[in-house]
Amino acid sequence: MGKIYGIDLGTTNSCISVLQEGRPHIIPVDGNGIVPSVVSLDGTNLLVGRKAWNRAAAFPEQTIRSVKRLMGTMEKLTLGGKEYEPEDISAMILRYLCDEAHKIEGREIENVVITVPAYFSDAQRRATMEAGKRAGLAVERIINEPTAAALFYDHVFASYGEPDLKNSSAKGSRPAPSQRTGEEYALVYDLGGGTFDVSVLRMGEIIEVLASTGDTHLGGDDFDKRIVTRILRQIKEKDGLDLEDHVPAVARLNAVAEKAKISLSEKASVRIEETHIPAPKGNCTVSMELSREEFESMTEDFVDRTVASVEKAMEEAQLSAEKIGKVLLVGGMTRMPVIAARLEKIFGSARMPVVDPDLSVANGAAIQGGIISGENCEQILVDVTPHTLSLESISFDFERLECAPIIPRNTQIPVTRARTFGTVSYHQKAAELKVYQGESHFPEDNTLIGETYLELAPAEAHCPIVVEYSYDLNGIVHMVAEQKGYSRKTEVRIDSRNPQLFSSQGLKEIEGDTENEDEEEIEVEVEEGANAINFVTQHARNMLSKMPAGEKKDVLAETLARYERALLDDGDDGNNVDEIEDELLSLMEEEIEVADEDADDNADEE
Amino acid sequence: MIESAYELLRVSREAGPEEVRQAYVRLVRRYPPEHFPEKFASIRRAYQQLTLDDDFIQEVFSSARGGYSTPLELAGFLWGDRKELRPERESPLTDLIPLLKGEEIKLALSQLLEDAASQKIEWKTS
Repeated sequence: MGKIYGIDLGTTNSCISVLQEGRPHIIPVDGNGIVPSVVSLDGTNLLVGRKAWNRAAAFPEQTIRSVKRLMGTMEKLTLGGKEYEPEDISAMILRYLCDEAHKIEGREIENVVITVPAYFSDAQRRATMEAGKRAGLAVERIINEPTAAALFYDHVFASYGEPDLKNSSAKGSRPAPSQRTGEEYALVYDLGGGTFDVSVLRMGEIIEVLASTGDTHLGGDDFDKRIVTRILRQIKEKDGLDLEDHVPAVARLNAVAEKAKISLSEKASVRIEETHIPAPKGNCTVSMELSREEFESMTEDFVDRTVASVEKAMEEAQLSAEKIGKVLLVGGMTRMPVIAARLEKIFGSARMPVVDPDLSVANGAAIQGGIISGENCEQILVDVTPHTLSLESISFDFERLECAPIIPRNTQIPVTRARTFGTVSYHQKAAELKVYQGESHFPEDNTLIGETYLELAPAEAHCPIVVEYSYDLNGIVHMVAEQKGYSRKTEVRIDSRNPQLFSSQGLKEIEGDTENEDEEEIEVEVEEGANAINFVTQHARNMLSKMPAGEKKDVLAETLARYERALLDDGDDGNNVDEIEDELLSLMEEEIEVADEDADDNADEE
Repeated sequence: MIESAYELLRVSREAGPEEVRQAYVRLVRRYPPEHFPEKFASIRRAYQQLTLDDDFIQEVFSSARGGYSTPLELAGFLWGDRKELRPERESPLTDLIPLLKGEEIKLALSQLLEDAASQKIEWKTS
């Protein structure tokens, strides 16, 4: 597998990053790498990024911004008289990023990891996958933005030590290894242009996500809108003009508001002065003063909403505020001073290390790409399911249909879970199995991601049917349903990212289709084996390159060579490979321990 | 053979929570989910059992209510090794669990699973 690029496909800005010699680097598309997620039509010319953004205020009707807000909906967008789906527009942004990065890197970009807000619904994730596909990319993984930010932060911390917002004197000091081996809980607060996310993680030698929650329709855009509303009101009072529905005026004011908001993160007050606001009859002007205090009270309810999500995430992770050791602020909106202040009130003693709020998500995605390709063997990530997977069943009182959860959200993946259901009637002919994704008890509020039938052998009512779901790292659900005590069984694979695939394949009866079943299983097995082998040899090679010459190095090199040979003439003696693999892993483990101890000693000496 | 949670995590039966955590982290580093999904799942399971994780208890409950009737079968299911096991109808677990409270449930359950996994006890149904 070649390089896997990491893409932060944001509401206002997007960004692409890649690992170079183990470190993520932002590719400087559009100058600094921060590419506005804007698409604009100039005549017949399609513009994306900075150039499109420059036209947004002047030609709002030929420009599309914040398309991320529409992902997963059926809404259509018009550009130059043509209709587009949100996926098409996102695909244009992705294509632009990859083409520009190609020019800079000189390498074709095929495989990518794209980030999404942790709380993105299944439909929104699927739409993101689809956008990648339409851009001609192989989307290796969709990962959560706060998780990506945490991965990047962990990488920076491991390499350079912890820059601390509160104690700036400690900036840049390399951590003592003993400090690294400890574990602590971290909270990622990610307020972007259009979405808000919060995740709680346990970070140490491995990174475990414990809980994620958020709000997919809350972000910087909403803060801007409050300022726009304020200005519109002033114009109405002063000139008696209602410009609320006048697109060019609102587009102009959006830009003005965003600028004012950004200044207010630095200054206590800002003067809003605009002389060229387009109105139906000529231009009109606005001149007003906006203080930070005023702005904060105007948007207090938004901040309250984020705080409520923070509390929910803490509850789901079963942690109290004092357990949190670190708070990571991600997303441009976290530059607003009131946010750090509010979080400080909740997490008093927690440190707030400096992470780049704009670039850390893309960098984290590149690191995840490295984990998948085997290039990065240092970081281990354990992620969770973003949504509950349930089965439609009849409630105890037979009154209504409800969703019985099988894999609850925030379960660490990959995972296999089963639950037993009972048939309703004597000699029931079949059971309908409908797989839902979502948090509601009611099927109508959740998303149906797949369905199948299990034909039943004649039996008493309440005959147990065991339904087992497996959820893998790629979000693919494998369902097995079995009538207990009878050999009736049905099995189906659902790609939760791609339901169309599911409906065309439909159900597969084991009894009638044994051959095919075997094939599929073998395919999966080989895949896992291949990945693991890639990981083991790659890790061993990395380790060898860092080891000083000596007996140990020779032993490890010899074992690795033996392992690789065993892999090549695989097949005759499967056990042999396993044995050597175990031997190799043990050697590597010892080496890691020795290295850790050495590092500890060095730290003590200092 | 079904490995017990202790064997899987390679810790002694006297291991305290910290030791269990360390063993878990070490094994996850060795078998990351990205490259060893199945192995990771069983390590995670064992860890949840030894730490008596709520999620684990919850699941044992919902499975005890239904098809997994003997501790042996339950253990088999938990380690993902259920194919070799035969289902039995009566469930002593279902009778036992409602009589216990709070921590007792957790302890009894973990003991039961341990014994079943190490095949120390043979569970007979009436």
